[in-house]
Amino acid sequence: MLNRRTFLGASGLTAAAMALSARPARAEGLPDRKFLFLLARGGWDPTFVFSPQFDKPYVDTESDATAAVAGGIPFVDSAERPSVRTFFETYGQQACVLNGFEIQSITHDRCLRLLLTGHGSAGVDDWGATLAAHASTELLLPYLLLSGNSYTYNHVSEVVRIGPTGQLPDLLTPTGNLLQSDRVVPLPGAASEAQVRAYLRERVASYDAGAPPGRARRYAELYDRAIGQVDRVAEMADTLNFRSSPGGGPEGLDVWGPLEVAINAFSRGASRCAMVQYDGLWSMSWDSHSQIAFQSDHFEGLFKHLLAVMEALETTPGTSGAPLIDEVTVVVLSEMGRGPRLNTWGGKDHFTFTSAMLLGSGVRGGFSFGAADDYGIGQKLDLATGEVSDSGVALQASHLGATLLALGDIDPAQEIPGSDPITAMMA
Amino acid sequence: MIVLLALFACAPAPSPVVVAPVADPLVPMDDVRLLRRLSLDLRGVLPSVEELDAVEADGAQVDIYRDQFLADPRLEGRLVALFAEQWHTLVDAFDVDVYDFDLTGEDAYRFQRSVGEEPLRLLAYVATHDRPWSEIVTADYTVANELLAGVWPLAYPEGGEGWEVSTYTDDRPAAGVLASNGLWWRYSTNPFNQNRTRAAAVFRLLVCEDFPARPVSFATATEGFEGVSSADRIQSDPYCLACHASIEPLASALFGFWWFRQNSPTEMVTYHAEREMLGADALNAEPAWFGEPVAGLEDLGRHVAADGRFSECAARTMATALWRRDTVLEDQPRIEALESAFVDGGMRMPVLLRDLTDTPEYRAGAVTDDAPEAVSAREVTVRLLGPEVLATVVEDLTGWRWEHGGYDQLGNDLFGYRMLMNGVDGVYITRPAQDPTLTWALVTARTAEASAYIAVQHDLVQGTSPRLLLQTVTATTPASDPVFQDELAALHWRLLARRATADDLAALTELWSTLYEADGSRETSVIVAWTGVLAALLQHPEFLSY
Amino acid sequence: MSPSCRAALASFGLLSAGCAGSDRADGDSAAAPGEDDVDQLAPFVAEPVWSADEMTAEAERLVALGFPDPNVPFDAYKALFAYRDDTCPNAGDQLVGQEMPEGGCLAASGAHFEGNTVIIETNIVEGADAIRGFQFGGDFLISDPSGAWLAGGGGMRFQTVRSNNGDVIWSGEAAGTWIDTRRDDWLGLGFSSTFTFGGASTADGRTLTMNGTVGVDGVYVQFVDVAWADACGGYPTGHLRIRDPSGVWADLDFADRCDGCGTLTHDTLDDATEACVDLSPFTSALAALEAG
Repeated sequence: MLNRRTFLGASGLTAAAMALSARPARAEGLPDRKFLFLLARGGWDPTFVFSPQFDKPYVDTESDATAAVAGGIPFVDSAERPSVRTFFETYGQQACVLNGFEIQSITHDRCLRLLLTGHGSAGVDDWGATLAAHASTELLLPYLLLSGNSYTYNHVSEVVRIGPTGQLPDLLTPTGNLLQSDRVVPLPGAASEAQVRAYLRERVASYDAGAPPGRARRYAELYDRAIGQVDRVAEMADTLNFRSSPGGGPEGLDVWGPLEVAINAFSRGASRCAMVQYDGLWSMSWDSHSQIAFQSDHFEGLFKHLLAVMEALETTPGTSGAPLIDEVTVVVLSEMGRGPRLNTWGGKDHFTFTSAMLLGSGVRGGFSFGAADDYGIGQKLDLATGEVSDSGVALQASHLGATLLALGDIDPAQEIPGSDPITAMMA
Repeated sequence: MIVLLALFACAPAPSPVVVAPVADPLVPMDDVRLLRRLSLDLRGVLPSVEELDAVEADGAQVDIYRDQFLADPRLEGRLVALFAEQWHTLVDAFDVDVYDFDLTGEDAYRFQRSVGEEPLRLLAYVATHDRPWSEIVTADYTVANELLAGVWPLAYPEGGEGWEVSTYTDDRPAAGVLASNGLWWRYSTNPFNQNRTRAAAVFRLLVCEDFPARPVSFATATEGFEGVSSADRIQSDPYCLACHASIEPLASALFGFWWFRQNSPTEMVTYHAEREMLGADALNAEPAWFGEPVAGLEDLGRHVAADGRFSECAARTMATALWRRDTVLEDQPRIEALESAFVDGGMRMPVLLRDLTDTPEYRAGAVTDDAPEAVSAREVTVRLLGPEVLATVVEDLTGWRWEHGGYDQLGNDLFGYRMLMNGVDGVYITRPAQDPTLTWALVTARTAEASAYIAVQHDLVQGTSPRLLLQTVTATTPASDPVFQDELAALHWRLLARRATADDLAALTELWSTLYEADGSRETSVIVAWTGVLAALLQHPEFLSY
Repeated sequence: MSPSCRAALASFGLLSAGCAGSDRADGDSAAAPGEDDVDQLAPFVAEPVWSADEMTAEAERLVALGFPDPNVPFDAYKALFAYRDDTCPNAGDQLVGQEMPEGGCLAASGAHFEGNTVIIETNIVEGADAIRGFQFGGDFLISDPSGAWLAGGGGMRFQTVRSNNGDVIWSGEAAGTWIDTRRDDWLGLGFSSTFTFGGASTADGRTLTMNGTVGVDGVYVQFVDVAWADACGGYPTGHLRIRDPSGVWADLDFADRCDGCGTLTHDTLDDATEACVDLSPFTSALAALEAG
């Protein structure tokens, strides 16, 4: 049977693929830390929640909001966003906010890539795929992409897309064992399929044995792995079809369904990472070039989801038996911020400085790091203390990524040289 | 029916483009497997048994077949698919949909694909009809089908069928794809963006200048511009002007496609010549191409065609398509040689395609034992069948295309599995992946199972002639019969382009026998067994790769 | 029977067709498929197809087709609602997109309604000012029982403010793409624009301005700060740009001549010539709007 680790040792592929050099070791016996990415796509305005900037003369802020603190987290409080206050009062001590890190682009596509990989160009894997690739066990659905973006290069096989309309489960277990097709096509039975897969794995092994240097051996190893995963199709279907609320999620939680699937996948030990995209109220998108007030509605919706996520993580057991909140780090982010000044349409344009929030396992809760100057520009930060410092580091997405990798027991220096983790955010 | 000219009938002269390095780390694949790669890339189907036999007997025949493939009518469809991987127009949603026109839901998929294919069809037409490549931005025609002719202001040839050369009837300038609805419906804009996204797309697609790739940092604010609105800043801050000095003037040239109301089919269908001059006021920039003033869209097309980067970008784009990877700095000498030959050849795409398929990068099936790690990681010596090619291969073998509710299930992501098979949707996946994944294996498995069922039903149950895949066996041929073994060998050769070894045949026979025994029904066991064997071969690692 | 809907827009030839093709200064002609190759890389210097007289004649032809009065399509739209029934369309006098079935609805009268519209009407008194007006926009197509139809994608706006002292200020906008097949004027031929206008009649005199673009029946013009003031004796100032079929834009600068004439130049050539355009049909139409 081909083995991923022996293959990569023999193939001579880049060391970035699998090297596990010096890194913080997770306590023995604990399962790998898991990561739930919740992406607010379109570019949020941190001044609505994470970054009170009422004292900045060149930053336009809400007239009816105030600066507040709850759970140790400074935030922007508004009567229109009760879920935000409730969230920080309840979970602030498990949250860590990072303000003022920069994504050096102003186009959505490029910013998404920078946010999720630390690089602007192709040829680099995103944090989720990298974390999944370094899982200490073989996972059924290593990085479950329920919605949102993923960028892969070496770790393409880690990502399992469920499809824009959730079509993967239908592919796994077709209704009536009929292909979803205009022409009636009965599919083979499970036993027959298993026999074919056994034949295929044997042929792949034969192919691998005679493979010349180059991509052939990589192809063989990954195809073998994929066939092995397909062997567990029933288990996959069970995981992906999970719905605790058959009629749909709680009111106002538009993306609760995918979040529930992700949490279930974590609980079963099927996945290490999962991503869900939240597009705001009525899926309007966070890209508020006009009517900036909609950001308030989007944040209210986001924090409603976060309340439900945290509650679910606290009450859902992980593979170790302990609540998932002990295993899962929730990563809440958006690919860009919004400019300090209102434009002529009452909105705000793209801005390279944005914020992120980490919750849960491994996170130093009750802290908010990063600051803005009078123009909304992020300030340099000491990575160890989180203090603003002229001798500190101008934070970029790569630093956030390094932090996530470190939380995932991966040596960041092996993946993103030159960007150290923000250890101030780590418990 | 678009008539295609035969281009190359004689044995090709040695390509001037192949520049052999001192120590080439690339090992060419054997001629028969190369034939298979060429056939899939240029025609989207497997080579016929006769073609395989001919090349097996004489390896030099592979280049003759390659030249025939370059004249094959199916090249046009393959180019549409290859261009789609980089032009990203085959998306599943535009700002308007089928219900905005006199169409029904049953037309939905055809509508989506027709719109997205229009610019690609123009590219493919120019490429396959002995036109200079510059015509993609200067043509006074487009390529449209009956559906588009019914919803857009197009003059479609009377009696025409399918994709035909057509002309817009709304006074839009002659600018090829730059004047196509399909391109601008994909790369739409809004009052805040004011055509800048479109300008960036033109730069990327036609001269390979990726403006969004340039880093932007508000932390490095030019003194005196802090706190200034972005709209004002891009007009005056030297830091912003580094990009916007080029972006704004090109965006200004595109205002004939400026829509007063977004998501309005009434606005989006026609060209608005009266709005051509609005850009200069809106963006405070006269239309220009990298500092050269342009007098409208037609003049813009000429400037693009005359730009030295245009031909190099064409070479680079096709290299990416056929090498199945991004080009890197080390490729520059090769790209320059390809470009030079392309230009010397009158910018005819077959010249470029021919030279590209001669390159070591294209023909590599492996690397040497001492190949540098970077080369080993970079070169795609084994390519995977993507969803589009798998669909055409299966259709060619069985006559069946996986469709559901009018949707090509390997060509869409609303209900289908294009992205799940690592196909490019143009939004979330913008380059094809070359590694097997779980969902890729699952989709290929379902496709194989269905194809196998259809072929066996046709060949053995209905006994329809001509046969599809099972040429000689019947429902009563025992495994011990030489005809049975010959059938397996023939299938192996046809589907995998490699002569079966005794081990290959034994494994297939064992699979067949196991499936036969497991079924336990005298009536269906043979059918089940052959269906399983065919499904297995259609998932074989050498079938799914090339 | 459901009418041919958006397809009609395509076959209608909204902005006309059949204009002369462009000629290049170097003698090349547009390359049609199968013809000899064109030197695509030669410098492009466009020359207008029309003479100065032809340009001004075309501009006057556009003007003669009628002023793009926002009230016209708005009134036509409201008149078509006489063909509604209890369920088709739905809410009041607006087509509410979320409440309309895909592809629209067919009323018992045989009229077909599809799309979405928003109407805001104003009729208020603020201090000494009586403000009346409307904003009408959306994307829709309504056909009457005979099959004739009105389609629009954009926005129409008109407002007057009448003061107790007799002052009148008005403004309007006609933007988007509009057609009413029951007419034979600017709206009947198909109209595309981003056009605003305004004026005032006060004790200090009358002023009128027009800005923006208008395209009708293959003629495309742009008004750039075209204004009338009493001091100019009813003649315009500003610039009127006219698009030649070659794609070249000509600019007629009225300057301060106050005689309806000016200097006509092309953006690709240095030649200049004198030309005159009679815009009085537009000013007459606006006078009627001011009156009431």
